[in-house]
Amino acid sequence: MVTKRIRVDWEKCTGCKRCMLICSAFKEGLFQPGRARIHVVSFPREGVSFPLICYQCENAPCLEVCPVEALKRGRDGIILLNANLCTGCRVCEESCPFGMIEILDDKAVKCDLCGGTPKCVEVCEPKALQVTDIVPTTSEFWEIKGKEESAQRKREERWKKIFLKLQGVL
Amino acid sequence: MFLYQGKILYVDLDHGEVKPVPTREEWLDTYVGGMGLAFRYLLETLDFHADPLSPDNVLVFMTGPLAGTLAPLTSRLVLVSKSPKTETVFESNMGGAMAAEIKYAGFDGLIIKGKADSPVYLRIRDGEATIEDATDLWGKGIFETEKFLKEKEGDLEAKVMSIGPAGENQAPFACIGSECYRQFGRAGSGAIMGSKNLKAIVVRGKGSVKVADMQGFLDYVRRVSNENLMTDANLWAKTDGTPILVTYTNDLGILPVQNFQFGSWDDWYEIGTEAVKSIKARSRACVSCPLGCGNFVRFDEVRVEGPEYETLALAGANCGISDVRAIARFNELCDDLGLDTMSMGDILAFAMEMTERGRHDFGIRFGDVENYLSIPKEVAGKSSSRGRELALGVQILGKQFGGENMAVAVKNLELPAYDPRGNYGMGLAYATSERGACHLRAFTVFKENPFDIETMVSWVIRGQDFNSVKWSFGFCDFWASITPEILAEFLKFGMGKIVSVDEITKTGERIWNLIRLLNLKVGFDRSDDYLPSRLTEQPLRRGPSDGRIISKEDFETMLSLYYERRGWDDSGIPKPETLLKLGLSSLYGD
Repeated sequence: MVTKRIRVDWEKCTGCKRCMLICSAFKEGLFQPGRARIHVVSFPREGVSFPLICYQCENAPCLEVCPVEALKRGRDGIILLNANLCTGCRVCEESCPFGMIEILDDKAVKCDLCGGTPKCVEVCEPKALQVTDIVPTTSEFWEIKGKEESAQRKREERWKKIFLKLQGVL
Repeated sequence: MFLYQGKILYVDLDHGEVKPVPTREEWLDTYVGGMGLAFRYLLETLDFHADPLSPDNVLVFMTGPLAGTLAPLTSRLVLVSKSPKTETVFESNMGGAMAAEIKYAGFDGLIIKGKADSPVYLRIRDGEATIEDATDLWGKGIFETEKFLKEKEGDLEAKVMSIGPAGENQAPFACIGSECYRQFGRAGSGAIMGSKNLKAIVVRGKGSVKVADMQGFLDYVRRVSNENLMTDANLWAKTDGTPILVTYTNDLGILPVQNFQFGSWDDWYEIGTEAVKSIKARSRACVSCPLGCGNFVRFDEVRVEGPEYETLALAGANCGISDVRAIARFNELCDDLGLDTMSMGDILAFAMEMTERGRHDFGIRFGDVENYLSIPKEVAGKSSSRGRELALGVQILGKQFGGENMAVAVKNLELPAYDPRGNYGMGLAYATSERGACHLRAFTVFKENPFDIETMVSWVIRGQDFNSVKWSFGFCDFWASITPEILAEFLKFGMGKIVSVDEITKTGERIWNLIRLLNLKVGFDRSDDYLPSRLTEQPLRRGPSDGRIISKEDFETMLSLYYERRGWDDSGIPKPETLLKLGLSSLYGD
């Protein structure tokens, strides 16, 4: 099955965070970047920003570990959450090496690609975000090992890792 | 509450106290937010006779109602205070991510007074604020300060605004910097923070901004973006950013060259948009902005977002510097030291001309890159006698060393990069701006009939009024085609509030009149609304406006007409009926 996902071209990202704003507006009904399913951090001194997205992994740990089958793979390979089944047990948050699924107000929250046409991609003027079905290469992942940490921590670690890795070319 | 957070953070550095206080909702209809609301708070909190660098001065930071939403170009954070540079009240606003972060942290604005006993920073996190020791940070540049504080917070998403050595040493044109390359640039905001021993403000918020009708709001954002924002009037910001202005001002003959002696320059291309593109790495944007006008440049070890037009012109052409890389180095240096590149550029240009004409030897001549790149450090650190002198600015130095005819400033603030001899409206704009020579109150550069007094007066008034309300909403200058109708629509979807276009226009006029009243309280009058003699007596040379001056007679005629049209008397004091119409009568009795 072909899996749709978002592809990030950080060279094009201007750090405007419109993706986070539209995501929280669409999914939560308010403007709150902290509750977005996409996360962007800027390193101002280097003039660079890195969006982090859910890869809708082929072998998705979150899907495998969910004890109540609240996560299911749907159309276009998108991993969907059934919030009615979710007990907020955090096992999925702990399992994701990317920090892209987390528990907010006792329920898991993750990107569902807005059903296939993500709002974040629509508002990304510099086209740093695109929908693709190309399988990501491991060099894109920047996964981290400490899987038991919070999603926020994991994202922070990944951002630092990306930054260090790319420092020479920034 | 929709759009607003309903809380202002009061900070008293004398007593080390912080206190969230409800936002005065009764002022929101009449002053909106940002610039208008900040000045209304200043009226209430400032002793107008206070020394700007004393504990009695007050810093008012204010967000606009739309900050933190997807409404495009709404990330300006306003600061108002009393200026150590001009002694007037002044407004300055900054882009980046700080305005949105303050909202997410639960506040509409911050009001800071007093002075800490030793260096401190203010830490704001999700509705809570503390005052922390900053002794270890004193002496550090803005870049290192930000890095240090973000690491200390252990949070990459924390936002910082801080001062560098220039602010610590209270250089009168020191700025406050944020996200490394964004500034409250003009009129000495950094010196005020320095005088309060306030090194930095760190903000992190995980909260939200709510709107009344989300679907309507999002639909409107899309519609207005397609139909108005992303059109030719504004797309220059996306394709080029401000460096494109070098081409235009050079063509118009109003590009300042060699301390405002000339209006166009053979080397303009070397500092223009193509030159900046040759060292550009990528575009940068403020929160919520799809245009992304920031040019992040990178070469050798230099990294800086910029240079912007004002820096290219005032620290380039005006200094006879045609190497864009040298200008970028200067820009990076000033951003880290916390110096306004505009005043610094003009002061260097003045020093160069003074030296070349043998009036006073500052040890720098036009085109001297080496001294050009060393003087900012001397000024910020007040580390040499030349540095201490140049920190005073061109107006004071002109008087001191017999170079008044070379000192190009209004109310002690050095001129922006549009020569009024080629556009009379800019002359009136500089003379009547609350903070001295400023190009952001009214901008007549691209208007027709630039020497027609009546036309220029009417554009200046319209510009000042509309910009006052535009910056009260928190919108950026670069949404050039924005209208009062658009502001009203955003309030409708954002707050469920219906406001007429007339009321929005009147709000702008009210704010501009309030600012005039504040400066009258400080002690300014008609005699302070003037232009320097270089503009009124010495003809501009080269380019389409070769030979032109803006004569004192023409200027006074223009000023009188401006006062009359504003409903002010001949001394520049708003008439009682004007104040009555705007609902300001009760504010100006004493």
